[in-house]
Amino acid sequence: MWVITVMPEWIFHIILIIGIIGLILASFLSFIPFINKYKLPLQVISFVLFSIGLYLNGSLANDKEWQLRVSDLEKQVAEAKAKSEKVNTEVVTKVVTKNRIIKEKGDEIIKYVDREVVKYDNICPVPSEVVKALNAAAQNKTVEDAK
Amino acid sequence: MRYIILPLALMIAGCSTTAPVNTKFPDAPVVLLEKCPPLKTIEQENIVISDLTKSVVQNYTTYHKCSNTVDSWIEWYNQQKKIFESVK
Repeated sequence: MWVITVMPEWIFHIILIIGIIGLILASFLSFIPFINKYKLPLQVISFVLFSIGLYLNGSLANDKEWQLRVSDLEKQVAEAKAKSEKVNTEVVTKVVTKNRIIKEKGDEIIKYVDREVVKYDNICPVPSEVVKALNAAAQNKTVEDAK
Repeated sequence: MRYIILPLALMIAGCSTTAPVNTKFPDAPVVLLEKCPPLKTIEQENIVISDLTKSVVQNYTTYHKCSNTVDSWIEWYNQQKKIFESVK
């Protein structure tokens, strides 16, 4: 509500207090000649001021409550963002490390093949059908469709 | 009593706002968005057993890396979703 941002708080309280005082004066002090003379206008004006003051004070209280909620929510969002970034770092570190280990293990096996399996190159020929089947599986195609 | 009802009604009418705080689901790390590479095929027709075995080993390695990335993606998504939903 724009009125809350433009006017200071004490004005809203003053309006409400003036309205209450006016209503009390008009209701209980009408035996005083001066007040009795202007009873009706005083009641009307006091009632209007009381209504406006009550409305503005209600808006002020509501606004303060919402400010607290916004502040709390902003704090939660900041905490969630920090947790999220921590998860990002942990997951990335884990996946990079594990992939490096996988590659190292693969390289070790290749070294073993170059050391031990090469001994059988001349005595263990590979039929072309084996190559076709492996290529088809690698490409997820049938043997006829694979290159 | 009737003098109080109108002010009370006006006071309630002034109460309606929305909290202007938005949360956004985080972007995935680049390493988790990398696509799995295709498996290697054997190009030469006359291949020896050691080269064949090496090709198979390389493809198995590719699979394990890809599987690790997918598992990490699942873990990342579940954790981020839990954090995202905890903000109320």
